[in-house]
Amino acid sequence: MSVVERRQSLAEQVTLLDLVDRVLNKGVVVTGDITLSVADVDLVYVGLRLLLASAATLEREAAG
Amino acid sequence: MSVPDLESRLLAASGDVESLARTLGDGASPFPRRVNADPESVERGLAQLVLTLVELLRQLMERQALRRMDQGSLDDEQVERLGLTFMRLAERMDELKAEFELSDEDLNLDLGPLGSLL
Amino acid sequence: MIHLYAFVRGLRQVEPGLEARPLESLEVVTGAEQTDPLQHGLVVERLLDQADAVLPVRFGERFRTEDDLAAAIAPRLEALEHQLDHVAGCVEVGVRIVPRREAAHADDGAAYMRARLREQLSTDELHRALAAKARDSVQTNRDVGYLVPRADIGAFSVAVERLLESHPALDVLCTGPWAPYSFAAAA
Repeated sequence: MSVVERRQSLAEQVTLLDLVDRVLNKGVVVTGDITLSVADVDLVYVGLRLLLASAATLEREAAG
Repeated sequence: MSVPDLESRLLAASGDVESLARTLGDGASPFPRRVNADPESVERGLAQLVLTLVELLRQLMERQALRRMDQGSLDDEQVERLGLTFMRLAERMDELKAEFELSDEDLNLDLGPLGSLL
Repeated sequence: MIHLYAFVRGLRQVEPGLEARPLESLEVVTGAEQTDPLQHGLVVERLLDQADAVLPVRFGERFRTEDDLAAAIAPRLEALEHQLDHVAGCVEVGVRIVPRREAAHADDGAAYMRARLREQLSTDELHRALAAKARDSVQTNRDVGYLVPRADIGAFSVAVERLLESHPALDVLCTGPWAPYSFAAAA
């Protein structure tokens, strides 16, 4: 593989990974619930969200 | 648009592009909003959760310490102590991640409406 | 199963396999069940050339019936319309800065803190400079997404290259243009 070809395929890999990362982790979330499940039993949700929302607020306040 | 056209979307890169590419992860599961801890790896699932929270707190604390250092409200001894503590914490995190075979991306829980954790 | 791809405005063509349902001032782009995130992404990127404004939907939003879809969208409709206003005519450029691990091997605590602070200040400076050239910017994890009008993409790319040269201590990855995924956070 020539230097040019190798650089092209790295660029392609990187942008492919970036696109899949976007598709999975960004974009509008319409249904939006997070659940933690063990053995297909849905367990922790609201409590964890409140905890993490507090952490996010802490950071905003620290930045203020 | 075909897949080959994607390569034109790398606009710029500096430093080690290959390791930068690795930070993009492998795309993992198609349903990242569900954190599944199957019975065989409950321990790993819990480790993932705990380490993610620890990493979040470490980042929050370090960022705040850097802000105060920048503002000049920390004395030399405090800076030294904080630096050593954060260095040790980072090392310990690396050890724990290795022990549970968790990558940086594994610790980045997707929380739906809250976005991603880290 | 109805697979949701994006919310758009000013859609000029609907490619085979997709449906565009009008809803108030926008259109809802859907298709048959889609199990491949890459294909989902490629559809959305093609929409960028086919519509005036595109708000990408995260992979995995699926609905059994049209009623389910309508019910899920209804409470977010107003927010979606505002978001479409915001991203109209724009694309996203992503900038990811990865902190170097050198700082972790510093000689002492103070050296570590100084290295981390330098890194942090350099990062902040880079982001400030780019944000000034974009309509908007938002951070998701380590990525910062910049909302850039299509016509300004060339100039923005040049600005990124110049800034990378003046911040040699940072590892930076810049990709784009993309549909504005980062500006489509849940309402």
